[in-house]
Amino acid sequence: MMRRKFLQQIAGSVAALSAAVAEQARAQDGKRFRIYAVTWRGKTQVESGFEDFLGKRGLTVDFIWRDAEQKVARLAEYVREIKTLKPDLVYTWGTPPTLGIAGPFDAPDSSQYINDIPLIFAVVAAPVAARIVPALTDRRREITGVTHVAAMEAQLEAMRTYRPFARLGVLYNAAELNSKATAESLRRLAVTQKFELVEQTFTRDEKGAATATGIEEKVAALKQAGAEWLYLGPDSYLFTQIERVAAAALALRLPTFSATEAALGLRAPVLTGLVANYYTIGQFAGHKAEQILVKGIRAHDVPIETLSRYSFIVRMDVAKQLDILPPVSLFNYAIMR
Amino acid sequence: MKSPGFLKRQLWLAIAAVLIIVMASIAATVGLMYRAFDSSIAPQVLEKAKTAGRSLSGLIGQAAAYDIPIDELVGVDDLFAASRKKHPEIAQIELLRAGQSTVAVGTAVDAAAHLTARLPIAGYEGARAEIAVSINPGYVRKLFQEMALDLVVVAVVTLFVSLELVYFLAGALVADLGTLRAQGAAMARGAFFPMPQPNWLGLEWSTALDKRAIEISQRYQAALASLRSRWQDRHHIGATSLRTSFAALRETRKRFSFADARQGSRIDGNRNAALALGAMRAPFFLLLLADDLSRSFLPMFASGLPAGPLPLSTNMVASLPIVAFMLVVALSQPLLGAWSERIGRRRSFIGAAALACAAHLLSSQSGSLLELLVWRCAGGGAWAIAFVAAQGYVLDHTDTKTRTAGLAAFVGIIMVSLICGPSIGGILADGVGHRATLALGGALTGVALFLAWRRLPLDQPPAIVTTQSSSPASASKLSIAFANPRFLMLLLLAAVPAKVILIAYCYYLIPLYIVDAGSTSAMAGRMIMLYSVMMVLLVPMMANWVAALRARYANEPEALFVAVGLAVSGVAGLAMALPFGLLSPFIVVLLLGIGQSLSISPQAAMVAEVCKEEIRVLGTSAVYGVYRMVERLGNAAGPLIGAALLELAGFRTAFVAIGVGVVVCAAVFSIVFVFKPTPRHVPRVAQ
Repeated sequence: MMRRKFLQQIAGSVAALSAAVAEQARAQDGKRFRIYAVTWRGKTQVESGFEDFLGKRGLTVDFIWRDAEQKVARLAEYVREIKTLKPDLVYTWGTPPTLGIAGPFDAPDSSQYINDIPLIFAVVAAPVAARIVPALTDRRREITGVTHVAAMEAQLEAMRTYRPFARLGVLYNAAELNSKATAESLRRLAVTQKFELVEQTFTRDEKGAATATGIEEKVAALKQAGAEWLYLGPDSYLFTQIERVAAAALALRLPTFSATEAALGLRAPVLTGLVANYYTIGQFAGHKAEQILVKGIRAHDVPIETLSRYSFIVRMDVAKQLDILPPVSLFNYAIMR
Repeated sequence: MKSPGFLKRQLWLAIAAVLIIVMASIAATVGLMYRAFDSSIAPQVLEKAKTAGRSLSGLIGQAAAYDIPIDELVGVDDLFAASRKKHPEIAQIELLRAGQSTVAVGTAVDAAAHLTARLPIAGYEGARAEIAVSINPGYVRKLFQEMALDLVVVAVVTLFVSLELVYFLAGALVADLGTLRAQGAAMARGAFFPMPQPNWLGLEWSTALDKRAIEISQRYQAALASLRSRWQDRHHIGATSLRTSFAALRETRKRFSFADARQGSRIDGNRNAALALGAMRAPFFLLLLADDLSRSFLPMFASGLPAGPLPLSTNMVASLPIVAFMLVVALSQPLLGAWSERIGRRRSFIGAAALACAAHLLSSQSGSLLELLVWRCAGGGAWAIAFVAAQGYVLDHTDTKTRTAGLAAFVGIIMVSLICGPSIGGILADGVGHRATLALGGALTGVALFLAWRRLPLDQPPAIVTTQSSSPASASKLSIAFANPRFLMLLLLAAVPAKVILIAYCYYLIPLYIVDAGSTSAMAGRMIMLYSVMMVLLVPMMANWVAALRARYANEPEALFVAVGLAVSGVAGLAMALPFGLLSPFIVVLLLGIGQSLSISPQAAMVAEVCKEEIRVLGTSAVYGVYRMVERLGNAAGPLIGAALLELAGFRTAFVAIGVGVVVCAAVFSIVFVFKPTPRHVPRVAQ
């Protein structure tokens, strides 16, 4: 009895002590942090998760929000602004803003980019393929972040769980580095996992930029070639055309599988996907920001990581329109929308 | 005063009574459990199957929320198949619509209503959809059999353990009673001097007796002294009365004695063979038991550990802990004899128990193969030290008359532990896991340590002793022994193959095979127990048989016994080529038990015959030391050979290859020893 009381007292005093230490830490860190945040298509759930996490951890942060509205030219202006404002941290959403602000690691003229301020990216599918860092373990740059695409093997397995296939179709923008990398890894897995890959790329104009010309024909060509699924990778241009692509696939009764959550939350009739939750990605990026700002860890010592859990999302309305219902066992772990 | 035989008879009666009571209560428990099991198991299994059915029905019910018609559900058969795979007790799962089966996976063996549960699917009430789950009566029967076998094992182990307990309790009791009896008998004979006293039982009584005896003796001395002083003053007093007094005193001394005239006859109470191990018995048994607990699952445990940087296959990894243990035992024992004698039996045993305790506890925590190997080596060292200490204890506490009985008790306790340990260890491993069972071994050695510390007699300073028993198998002795080609052949053709096949089969291949065939560690433990029980029953029988043959035909049947025994051991392996499933290892163990019991004692006897010259020069124990060491190296080689063959060619071939190898050894052995008798041998027979 006495012993228990004693232990309770100890526990109580330990709690009080740690609370006091935490309070002190907060007081010490009472300084305000400035984060310069660049988005590509306006604020998303990722930014909400990022802000909420830092707020819950008791950090006082002044955000400087900039939205590029998908215009690469604006990013150079932001670089100049960052250099004059000198924030504590730079946050970027997606591959184009991250490349525009930080530049490729092997850029000939690094002065055009930000090098001396720590940068955290989110929603970059393949930081290595995009040349943001030479390798995930390379510690050269003051850059860290959260990638958002599940391992390709896991995505293929999810597709098979829904509906087995022998032929897989893919439509991508050959002008994007990470899309080319995605196609390459699909080709590799087609050999080892013994399925056939059918490819189509967006038409490009004389400058090499992708255009929306003939999207329906390309989807039809995939269906014609016997594709049983249409894979929608983490492709920036594809995302701008997602509604047309998905509608074309639906019209042809070709089921669609997406690697990103954004594609499943829109009016586009995309059937399913194995995706990282955007809000959770933001929280994880917030955790990395806290490590850099409060704990003083250098960005190159904070690992570039992805989430440990992905959500299997099925849109039942699309499934019914396609008349391709998910197997009953999927009700166990998929999120039906 | 009753004779010592009376006490012994009483003890055996008491033991018999205890055993009968224990066995009867086990039988009653088994019977009652079996009945309770019988009536409650089927409903329980059905309840478990119902839970699985409920989760299926809940899952399908979710589809109703999206207005999917029950006929359009996708992947129901896959879902049922996956669930059936997860639940071996389920024979069939059906999706029913209005009582009609629309999807069915598996086949119901028996459509009896009490084996089937029907669960309506919420959301599809309109379609009158139900899930029907039927359980497999065969699975229930299998559960029964497993349980019954476990109970048999528990009964056998309980029998032996209670016997050990009786020895443990009665050992002290009987020793005390014996001392009291000796004291009483001495007094009855008229001896009045201090005698050895019991430790606990009747201590007060004995002390009081002792006090009286000393008082009487003192009074006698006082009377004698006063008489002497009066004798000196005899001219003052009349001498006649003194003479009468002296005569009376002489008469008294005839009838009574007042000083201990016996010389060196203090060793008493060691006559009972079963009690020869005395205070060493319980701690030694616990220490052995702790080690034997892991026999049935150690290979599986090791193969589950990360091998780290070592480029080893899983099978090799599984064999290494046994190899490490056996190698340490083989190589350390020749060196330990002298050391154990020098530092004392008590101290070396306590050291071994402490080391074993740490080794078991750390083994249970090991996170990599390398760690496990280190702790198993430590365990092997501890085992070897304890073995030598206990053997030395027997030798120290017995004389030429009681030594054989003492050593028999020593070997007996090793066999008892080998009966109890692996079987109970297998059941425990299936129940509480490998690590917990290893930790339990640590706890047992902890108890052994405590008992040894409390009960083992303090070490006497080493006397002149330095007998041959302690001489290590030095290199020179090894070379002298190996210079005898017949000895070398006895070792390489009989001793080593016998051990290789025993350890490779019983400790390595059979446990792995049984688990590979889908059975449990408990089954592996039962197999090892079967072998040990056969040893206990057959070895003395075979030894008697050899002795009888020797007496009747005046020849030496040892070589024939060894050859036949080896051949039977080898043929045992061929049983694995038969497609009998789990019956095959059973036949292997049965034949191996017969083979080994045929060859073990004759083989040891042959050493004396083959190495007569060497024994004359080096002494019996040096030659037997070499023999035991080489034999134990065979123990270490067994799992390695087994693992290599398993890696190359799979279970069946590994069993058969080792068996064939041993049969070949037996054939060559019989050519050398049976058909061409030794030149030394012939004149001996002629005598």
